Amino acid sequence: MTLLTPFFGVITALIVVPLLLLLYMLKLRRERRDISSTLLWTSRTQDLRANSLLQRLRLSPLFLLQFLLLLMLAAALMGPILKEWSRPSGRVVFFIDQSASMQTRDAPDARTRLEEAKRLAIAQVELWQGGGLFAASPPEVMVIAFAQEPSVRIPYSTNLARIREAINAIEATDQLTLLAPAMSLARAFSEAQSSPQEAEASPQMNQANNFAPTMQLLSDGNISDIAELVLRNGEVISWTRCGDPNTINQGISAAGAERRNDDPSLVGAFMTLRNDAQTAAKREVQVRNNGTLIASASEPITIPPATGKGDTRVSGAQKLSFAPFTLENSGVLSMNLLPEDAFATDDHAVIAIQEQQTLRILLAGNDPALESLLNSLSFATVQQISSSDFIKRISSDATWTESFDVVVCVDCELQSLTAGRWLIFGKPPAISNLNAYGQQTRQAIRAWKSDHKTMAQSQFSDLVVDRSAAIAPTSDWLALLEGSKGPLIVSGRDNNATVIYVAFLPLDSNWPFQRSFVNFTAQAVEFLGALGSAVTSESLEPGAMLRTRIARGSSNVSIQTPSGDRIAQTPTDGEIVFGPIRNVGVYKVESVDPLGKKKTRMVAVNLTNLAECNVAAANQLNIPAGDLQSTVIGLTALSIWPLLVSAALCLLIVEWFLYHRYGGSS
Amino acid sequence: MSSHTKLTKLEDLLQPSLVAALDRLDLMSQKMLQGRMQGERRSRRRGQGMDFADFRPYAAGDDLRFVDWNIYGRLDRLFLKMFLEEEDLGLVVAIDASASMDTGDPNKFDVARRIAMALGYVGLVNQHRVTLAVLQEGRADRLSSLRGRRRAADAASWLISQKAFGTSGFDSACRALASARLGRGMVIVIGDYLLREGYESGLRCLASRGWDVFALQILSPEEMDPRKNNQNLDVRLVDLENKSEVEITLNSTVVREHQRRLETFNTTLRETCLRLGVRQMTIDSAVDYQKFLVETLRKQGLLK
Repeated sequence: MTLLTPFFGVITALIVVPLLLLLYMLKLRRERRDISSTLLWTSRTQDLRANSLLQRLRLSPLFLLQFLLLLMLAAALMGPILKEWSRPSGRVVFFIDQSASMQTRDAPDARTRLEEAKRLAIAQVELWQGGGLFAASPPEVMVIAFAQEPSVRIPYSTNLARIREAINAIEATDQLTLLAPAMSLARAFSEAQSSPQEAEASPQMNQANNFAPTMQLLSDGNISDIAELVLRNGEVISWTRCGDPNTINQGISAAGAERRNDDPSLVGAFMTLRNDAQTAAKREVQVRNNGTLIASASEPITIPPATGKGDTRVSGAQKLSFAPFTLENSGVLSMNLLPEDAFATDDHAVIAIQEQQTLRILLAGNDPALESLLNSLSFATVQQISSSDFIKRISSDATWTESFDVVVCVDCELQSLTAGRWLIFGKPPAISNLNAYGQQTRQAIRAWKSDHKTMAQSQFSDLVVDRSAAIAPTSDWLALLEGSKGPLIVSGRDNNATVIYVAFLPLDSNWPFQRSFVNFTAQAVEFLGALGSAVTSESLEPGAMLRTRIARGSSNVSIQTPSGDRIAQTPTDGEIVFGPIRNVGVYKVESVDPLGKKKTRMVAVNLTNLAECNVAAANQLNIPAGDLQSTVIGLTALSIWPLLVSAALCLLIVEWFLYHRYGGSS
Repeated sequence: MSSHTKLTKLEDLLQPSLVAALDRLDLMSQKMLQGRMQGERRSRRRGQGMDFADFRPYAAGDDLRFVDWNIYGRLDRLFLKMFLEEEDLGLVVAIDASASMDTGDPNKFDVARRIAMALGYVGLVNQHRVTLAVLQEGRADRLSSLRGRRRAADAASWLISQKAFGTSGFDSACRALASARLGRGMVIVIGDYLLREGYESGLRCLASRGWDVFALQILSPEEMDPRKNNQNLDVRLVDLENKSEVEITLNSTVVREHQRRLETFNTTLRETCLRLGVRQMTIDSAVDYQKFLVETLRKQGLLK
């Protein structure tokens, strides 16, 4: 048992107990009353020494009860708690995990882990703040909520009400768990709030007390960057585990939908289910379009069990695909795993299906092969213009290219790139990122980035380029195709232009006679076009930035979050950037274009991160080069004072009964 | 607590409105008592009264005025008519004048003196031999042998001059009263009877002398209910006679216990008086003593 405020109780006892003794030893000043005879009166007190100030102490039951009562109250004022605990001195930083896994509902009383963490933190702070007037100074507390990015909810403070309010205001997110940024933030705050004079006066003390505050981590232990954490000298972090290590989870690890190329009105959907349990699980699956049930498994789907244990464990997976269904307009496809388990976030996935639409392509320049190929693409309408007219047109109207989804240029002498998506063949545009420095001849292919969307299902080993531009792109540009003398196809951004640059003309190579030419060109157009208004669904992870283009001159631009909040946005250079996204669901980007037509674009956000979906709380945290107290501790200590006060009240009742039963004295 | 009223004149003791009522009353003894002088009360002594009692043969020396000449005419023998002689009644009104009587509101000693004056007045107007006495410090100071209405002022002056102090010495005072040559008669002893030494011996001494003893106990309202007129619950009770002290807290338990003791004490007093052939009565000093004299005492048979 620990006493929070021993001095308060001792001082109180030293005052009131002797006072009680004195009161019992002092003779009561009674009113003299002359009566005819005391014959019928029996003295209720035995000591009748009338002239003495004090009398001997009479140990009556009432005195003993009152003595015991005062001792109990004094003991209650000492703030006893049943726990091996001591009040930290200096500063304390609470790191409260608000990541997706903290929404798992496996804490006592059906609370989520985050609710439990907040309750524990508040209880701990209240415990430190307890003790009343004579209590030692409570530690300064800073609260940092962290998921993918940390935020200081309250800087160092001793104001209990504000701390409690700040902790209660921490909301759940669906982001990953990154602790390192939170610790960096805490260190920065600690260093910033220690005065230079203090640091100069006592560097060691300063480091111990200010730079290295006591850190309390309230988390389930599923921390993605735990391997990157390094504790500084003197830093100590205590971890309070929130959650059950035996909690298992099944969820949707992947979900998608695509319009078919041959018939864009048909949408095909697929999903992958995962199971972390060691036994197979059966779950029902439903697919809804804008809330209407469109597909459901006839019987529960069996998800195979996970294999392996610990770090080598591989979750069981079950892939599902649904028959294509007709969806001509946009819609929200929701996939649900029923019934919900403790971690409901990954039991649902949403997919925003955009309205079927045809890409508008501008072909600038004269290339029969490209012209024939682009016209053959079913999802595109092609407008052709000569390169000289194109140069003239964009010189007079720089925004003209924004009216097309993709601009394909063949051997155009571009001095700059306006906003838009560009597929450029031949002459390099005069932009600094490419660093064009001449020409190369006779190149074979060394390598290509086959995992890029534009290069998929293509074979470039037989390609020979007779003549190409020599370029040395900056490092932020991606080389998709490497020739023997330099990059031949690169991808990157220049201001508001997204560019795929092919450093040669198709007719200067044997490419038009190869299948990779068709595949690449089609996929490049689709890739660039999908960045603006997709023909397929688009999905983001929590923590990502929502970035989308808005037609110039649009008004009333806003984003409606899954919770229904509408946040006004101001486009910058025809683009809005929102985020990092905190929660899963469908985000609606709404605007009114210059023609007064309302535009809505939906972006789905789903949690598919395997680390975050593994909701079994960690048994141990290992932070390298640090002094981690990885034991699971409970922050709530049992306060004894209510019991003592209750016992004192009971004694008071007994004392009252005896007083009235036996007439106030022995 | 004493609330001694200043009694300075006869009217303080005996209000004129009460005098008329008392004029119609007379004392009534339960015993036929022998007086010293002819009075207005029937006695056992045969003599010159108005009520015929018996005949007896004439003996030499008898007063010829009492010879029944009618019988002599019929029987030719001399018989003497015997009459119940009307004698005076000896009335002794004794007051406990100890300090304990000088308490209460109304003051017990004042009430006792008023009752004594009233009873004495009844005795005086009925030509009885009235003796007033105060029992104090083992003595019985007396104002003896008063007779006739004219002596009422003397009786009042004497009563007014009496002070309550010290102890009564009840036993000794009763013996002293009994040993006084007061003849036989009625003795009314007025007091609170809260006597540590007891009262039985004194009452027995008076009753054994053939007196018709009436014990009148006066208790103050505070003695009946200790919480009356008392705001402070923590009190130090001081005995006025022996100065002993008792510290108490007047809670309900203590008061209840006191009332139980008082009830027991009064029951004992009644039983003792019954055993001694002494009439007894307990009154509150706050009683309407005029009504008490005119109605209650008549119902009790002390007055008629």
